[in-house]
Amino acid sequence: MIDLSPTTWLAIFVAGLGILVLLRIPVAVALLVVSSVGAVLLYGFSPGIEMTVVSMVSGLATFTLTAIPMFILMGELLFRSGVAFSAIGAAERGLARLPGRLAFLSVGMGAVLGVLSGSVMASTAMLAGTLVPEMERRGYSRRLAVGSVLGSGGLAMVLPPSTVVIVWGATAGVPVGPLLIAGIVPGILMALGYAFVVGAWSAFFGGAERPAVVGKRPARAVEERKAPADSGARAAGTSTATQAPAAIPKGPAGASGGERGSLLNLVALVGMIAGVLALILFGVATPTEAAAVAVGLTAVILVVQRRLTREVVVAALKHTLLATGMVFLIIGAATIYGRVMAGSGTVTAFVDGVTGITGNPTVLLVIMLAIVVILGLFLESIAIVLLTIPLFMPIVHIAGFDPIWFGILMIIAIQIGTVTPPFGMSLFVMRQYAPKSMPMSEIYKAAIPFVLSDLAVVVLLAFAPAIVTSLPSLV
Amino acid sequence: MNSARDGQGKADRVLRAVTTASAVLAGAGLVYMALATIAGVVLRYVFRAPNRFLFESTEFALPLTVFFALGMVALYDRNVRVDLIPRRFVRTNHKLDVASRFVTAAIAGTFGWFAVQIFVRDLDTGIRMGSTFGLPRWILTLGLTVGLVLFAANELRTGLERLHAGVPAGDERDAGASAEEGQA
Repeated sequence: MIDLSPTTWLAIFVAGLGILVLLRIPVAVALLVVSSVGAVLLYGFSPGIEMTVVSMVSGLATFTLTAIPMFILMGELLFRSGVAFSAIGAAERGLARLPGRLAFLSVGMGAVLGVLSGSVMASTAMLAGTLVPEMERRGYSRRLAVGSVLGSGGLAMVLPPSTVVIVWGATAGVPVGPLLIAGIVPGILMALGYAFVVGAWSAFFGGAERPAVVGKRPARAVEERKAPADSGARAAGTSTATQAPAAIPKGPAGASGGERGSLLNLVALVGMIAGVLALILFGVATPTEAAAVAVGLTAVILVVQRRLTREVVVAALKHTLLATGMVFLIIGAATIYGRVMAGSGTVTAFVDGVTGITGNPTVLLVIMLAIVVILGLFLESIAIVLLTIPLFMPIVHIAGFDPIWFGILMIIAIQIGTVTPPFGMSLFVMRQYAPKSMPMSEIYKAAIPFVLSDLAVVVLLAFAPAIVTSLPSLV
Repeated sequence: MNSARDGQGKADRVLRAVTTASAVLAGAGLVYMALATIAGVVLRYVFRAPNRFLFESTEFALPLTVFFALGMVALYDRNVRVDLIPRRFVRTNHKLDVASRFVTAAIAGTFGWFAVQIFVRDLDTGIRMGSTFGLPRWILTLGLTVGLVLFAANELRTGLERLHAGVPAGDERDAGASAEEGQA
């Protein structure tokens, strides 16, 4: 083993990774390279390389992680078949009496898409690709349109069955079931915060459409309804949980099945999600088993509705594999990165360094959350989770934090990083869908009220941990 | 020239076919995981007969599914990359993109080579996952080898394709030229 100082190790791990990532090397490959260099320096060439390859194999053979592809598959099946879009249509009709209903709908859709896709980027892309052009067409303020989507897209990371939460729990050694359940109340609080921002915005600054006249719908409103439905038909087969569709999400042609059908789909969807969460909450099934049962239930719903076609199955499987391959390559590489970093003594040095600055748990918490928000500006959420867990978990134990509470705070902080200017990844996703004439600076400004709302939730949860821990304590 | 292009087209078709075949195996793994987990729940709760094989094989199927999907992830360019250079610098981004594809292909290929060696040794020693009753590890190292090789090959293909396609229209040179024209 080569004897290097902790600073040199830290430089290898952080600077090496940073340089490779900036050179547009995929994050997973960059992690793999830095880890193998570290392993070779630590253990010698052959053992180091062998450790890297074997860790890649053994690190992924974890039953808990199986929940991720299962939940992704469930979401894909629901999107591909049009059931999810049909349910969202029913939700929109339910909000018809509210001023600025599309902005409220984006919050609701953010929650539903979050539950179904578990990915912030996918959720933001889908909301942005569908609701922003529609809100622009209906004369909403551009900032309200963009801001509401940016905020609500992030709900995917907190609400169960978030992929990030599963990875966090599995890697940190925290039970995934209670952790998933712990995300429910904070996720709802975040959604309520966004709804409050949208409501206040509509009330005080305008820029939102007036409520629809229910029962006496003017001809123009009827025409407005037809247009998105037609565009949704054109988008048939293009919309997906992991890739943004090109048009408003009404799903494949004829998928909505009328208002009654849409309402039934909404009930079925909500019922299934509630049922799956109940299985986890009451300890009947592990998250992985609940996820597999959810896939089975989804298949049954689609068979009953005669929507389980070969095209739907193939497309859902294909997109699930693409998302799974991408996510798990990062997980595998980051697992090795964490092991090598721990073996080099960097983790101990980092923990000593941070706890040497202060022993105050609140300051430690603020430092760790700030690091996560800053990393969130540059890195993919799962990569952040996997990079910071080996460094943070010893501090969490030293400070005596509840790991479930800390995990949820950390995940919200990562979510804030994705919408924080100037480099938050959701902002770049939004750039593709926002009106061309809207400068990036206006997108930043649009995100600010929603980031402040998230920060308010973080502060609330930080000072009242029971909000996070009370529900999982029932498990 | 034409024969070279034909050869490249043929290689491209072969690569796509092999990648698709590997993805089909990954898809089968995904379906197996779902069915085996559901079966495990049913056996445990309905028949009161938990099945260890279903549990272990699901754990085993996950990395196999991921490895067989790696080629497709590269083919559809779904790897997470960080773009920090503003989009208006099209030429710089193009150069960096092509170079990063080749470097990524080289790295994945190198790891693929190491994985082959470990696969051969695993086959020789008969080492198993978890315990002596676990499933043989060589199946996973074979899957990793296939995945990394296809990953490298698809990155290389994309790199070559983009290199030959050249810089997309509207790069910073054009922007500079049009600005100069405007000033003139």
